[in-house]
Amino acid sequence: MRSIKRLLANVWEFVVGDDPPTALGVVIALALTALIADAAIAAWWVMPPAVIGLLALSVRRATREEHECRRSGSASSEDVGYGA
Amino acid sequence: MSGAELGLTISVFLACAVEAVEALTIVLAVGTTRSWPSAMSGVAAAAIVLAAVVVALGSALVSLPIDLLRVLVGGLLLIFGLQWLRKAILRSAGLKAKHDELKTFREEAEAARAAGARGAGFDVYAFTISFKGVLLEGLEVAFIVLTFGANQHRVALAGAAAGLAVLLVIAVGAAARAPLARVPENTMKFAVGVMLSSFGMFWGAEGAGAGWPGGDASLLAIVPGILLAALAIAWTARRAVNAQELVAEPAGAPDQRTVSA
Repeated sequence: MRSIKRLLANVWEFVVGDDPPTALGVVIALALTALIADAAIAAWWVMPPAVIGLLALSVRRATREEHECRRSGSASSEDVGYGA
Repeated sequence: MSGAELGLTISVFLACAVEAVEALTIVLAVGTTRSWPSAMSGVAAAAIVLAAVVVALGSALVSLPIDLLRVLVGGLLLIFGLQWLRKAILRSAGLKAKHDELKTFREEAEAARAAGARGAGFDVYAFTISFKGVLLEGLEVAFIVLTFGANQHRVALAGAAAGLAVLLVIAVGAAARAPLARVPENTMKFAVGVMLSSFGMFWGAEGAGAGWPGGDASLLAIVPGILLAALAIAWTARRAVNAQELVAEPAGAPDQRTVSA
């Protein structure tokens, strides 16, 4: 049971990373696209502003967190581990 | 080669090259300080695991219905792409440390020396660190190979692009006999982020039932559009950081403002 939990935690960490709101935003934008397309309305326009908005919000959040870390003198949460 | 295949090749090649540079640094550090045969055994074992992951999951993915595959692949690529872009933007704004291969090499080599003397035979430390380094750096690339390749039923092409990138990095690393510190890693990561986000958005929306105006040709607008938006967000973040520093310096006290990047 513990190994399954660890595996799921690793998969979550690998896919979602340290930015769950962005992953959730992608899921919501795709669901909205599907809903609109299902109603036989052009739905391609949903994703471009959603993606740009999610990126801008993600950078803004990370910028604020980084400044908080610097002010409090703690280590950056962004510099841990491997990956991009 | 179609536009989508060209996008696949460039994205996988760049992603793999940049991760291979980072894996090379780790392998070089343990190889030079501990044992080359053990370090290379770790590399080979990790490469076998990664290849097995691509082959096993690749055949499972291509058997999915095309719309479900596109939503899954598009969503995952988009999430990965936005993560790569965010980190590249934060590094370019000075909010996140850039990868310094020479520093990483020194730290890994120091850790390898501190791990104690090795025996006469197989060096478990060198094997484990090499295996872990290559596996962790390679897993994300394996996923990109899988998702890009499966969606266009061109896993072999994606694998070939990844293999070519690894061979190139190994060749340059062997010639230099040092970590590849001059590779513009952040620019490459930014480019990969733009490609993953663009293709992820394109396929995800198609899988969800949306039709892009102009079909595949819309990628000619999507890729530059995401690139320009990401550059604008990076510029805004840099500007906000500079403004923050200018405000903080004369005061000589911790700044209480928040940044509006």
